Amino acid sequence: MSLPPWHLHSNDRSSEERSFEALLGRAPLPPDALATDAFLADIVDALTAPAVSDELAGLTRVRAAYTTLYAARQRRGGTYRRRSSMRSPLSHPKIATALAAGVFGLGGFGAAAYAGALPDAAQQVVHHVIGAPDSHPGKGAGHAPQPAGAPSSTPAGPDATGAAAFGLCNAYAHADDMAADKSVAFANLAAAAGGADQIEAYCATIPHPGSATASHPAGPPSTVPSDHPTGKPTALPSHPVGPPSTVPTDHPTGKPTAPPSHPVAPPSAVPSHSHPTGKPSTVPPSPSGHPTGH
Amino acid sequence: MLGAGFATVLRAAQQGDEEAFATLWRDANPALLRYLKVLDSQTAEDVAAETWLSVIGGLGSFSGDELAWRAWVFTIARRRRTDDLRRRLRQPSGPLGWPHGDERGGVTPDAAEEALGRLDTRAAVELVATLPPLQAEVIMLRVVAGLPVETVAGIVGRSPGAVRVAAHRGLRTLARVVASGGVTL
Repeated sequence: MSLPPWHLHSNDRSSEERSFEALLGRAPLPPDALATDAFLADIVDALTAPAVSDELAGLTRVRAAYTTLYAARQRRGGTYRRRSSMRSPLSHPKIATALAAGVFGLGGFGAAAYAGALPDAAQQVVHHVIGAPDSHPGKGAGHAPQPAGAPSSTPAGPDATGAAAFGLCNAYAHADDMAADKSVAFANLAAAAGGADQIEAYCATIPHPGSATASHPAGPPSTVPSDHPTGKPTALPSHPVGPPSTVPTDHPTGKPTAPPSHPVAPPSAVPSHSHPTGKPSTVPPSPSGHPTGH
Repeated sequence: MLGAGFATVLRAAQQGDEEAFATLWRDANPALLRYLKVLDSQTAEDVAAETWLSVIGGLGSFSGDELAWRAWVFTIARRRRTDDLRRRLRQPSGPLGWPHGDERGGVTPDAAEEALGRLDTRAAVELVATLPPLQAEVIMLRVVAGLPVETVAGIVGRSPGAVRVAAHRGLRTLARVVASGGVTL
């Protein structure tokens, strides 16, 4: 049995406390430290040794995540502006129907999206789907795009029981509560669902329309884990390359954010002259439906 | 730890500078992995990846010094680890992936002796992982994450006194392992 020189601090708690606090604080050992303390210091040194290569192996992947999710938003500059005087473009009958029609090809629409040439709300939605540049960066990273909330001026709005249902569900998931309550389109959704509080459940039954693209499996809706910051299950398929399904609940500013992880079918034709973007330059009407600027 | 340069690097990363973000990641990820390996070595990589996605998500709104940054990152890691555990416990036939430590408290002699033979990082992490969960976690948060007692107390949800006691008990156990192991250095 090998006892010396391995003494322990058995009788001297204050000397032990000094040694242990030095070890835990990565400070030099006090003069009365024991040999066992020195050995524990070797353990501390090993725990805090410089990185080894397999601890740095994930860098490429995390860089890609950062760039996709964060930098593109930030590079556009400026802050997110809420155009509360405009009704939500996503509730416009033409956009909602087009969204629901499920046409998602990376043809002209995709090119317009990457050029940042779409109307803001559509640009935001497409940003989260295919990683196209965002129209406006969020207030902070993780800030979900929110179409401007305002009452719709069209009396009917899109039919929430028909083809527009998926588009409406998606717009609802992106909208903040104010827009959801006031928009006529969302009123239709609530009616179809049998009540505003039934919307999430109703939307969970709406399948993703159209065929899946290479990057978006059209799977069954999934719900977000229960510590979802907004308390709202999104009930939509999750984006495979997307951002986290949750953000930390001790978010520094205390602001909950919604996960922007919803594939959506962008409109095959962007509505033209009547589209209220609120921007000085109007979207010119064109047969191909591609705005040349916003 | 980045020290005096931290604020500049953070600001740049918040403004979209990928290199700055990579600097933050390289600085924190090894410590993060070592901490997570003590909680559950099998899922450490996955939970670390989830942690960084959450960090990216909240990056724009974070403000604080380097200590606050580390506390934030490790808090997120702990939550992602809990999420992961809950997820796997819900799977009827999935592996539970218990961390390889003696849950009832106490060092497993073989693992400890083997770890003491070579004091590299992996061995040191495995040695700490043989301690009871709270003691192991507290030691990692103090030593590897470099956090003070009060901050660790907030993260693990115990009083500072309880944190101090747990850390010292852990070190005492490790010291006893050293004393009884008869290792020649």
